[in-house]
Amino acid sequence: MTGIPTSALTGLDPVLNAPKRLAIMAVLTGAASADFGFLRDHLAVSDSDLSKQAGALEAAGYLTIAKSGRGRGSTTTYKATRPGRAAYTRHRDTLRALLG
Amino acid sequence: MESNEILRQELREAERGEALGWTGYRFPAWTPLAMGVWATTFTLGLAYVDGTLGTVWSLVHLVVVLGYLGWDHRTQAAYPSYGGTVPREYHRPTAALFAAPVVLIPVAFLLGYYVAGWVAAVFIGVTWGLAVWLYNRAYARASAAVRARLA
Repeated sequence: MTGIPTSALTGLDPVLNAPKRLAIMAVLTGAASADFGFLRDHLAVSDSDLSKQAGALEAAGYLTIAKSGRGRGSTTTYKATRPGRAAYTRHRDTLRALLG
Repeated sequence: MESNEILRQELREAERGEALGWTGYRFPAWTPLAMGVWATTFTLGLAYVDGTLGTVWSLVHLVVVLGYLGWDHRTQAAYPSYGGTVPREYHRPTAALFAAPVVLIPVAFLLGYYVAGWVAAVFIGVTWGLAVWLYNRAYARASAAVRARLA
């Protein structure tokens, strides 16, 4: 769990302060995995926006991205990592605490 | 106060998102029948097929289960995580499903031992298929309850 940037003041994670990234991690915390279309439809975002947000989460080590197949039949699947789940849970719990 | 409202909204969205892996999952309609047939043929193998053939019979059944799980995992848009956040509405039906074999297997064993192998096979097939069917219905009700709670 070292190296995860977390605000010392509030416990809120800067990576998860973006609502779309928080929403992605929320889905992946309750699901073993989710595919690209499912996340895109849930978040109501464009393909490029989802790729960008997921890329930022992957760079932070919060999720893994797996691609299978080629062409139109290809699928992209996302999975939360253990540090990602922990960061999300901590962020959500801090939000709850802040709101009382 | 306005920022609090934004945070509250964010938290609500997060809670809805956490449940999506569960509420978005759909059981294939044929699972109760398939699992009942699987349990019956597996038990028949245990009762009547010995030696290498019996081992192969059991391994084939194991491969079928693993194949089904892999296929289900690939074809579902989102797959519920038993190790993650499980909405409370699913706790009872899931616990009941996991408890069912604990009750059914000893009864099937006794039936096989004292009555006949085929009786045990039919018993476990029918009751396990029924258990899966009941679980699928309870799961659908739980999903509806979660969606209503987080609406």
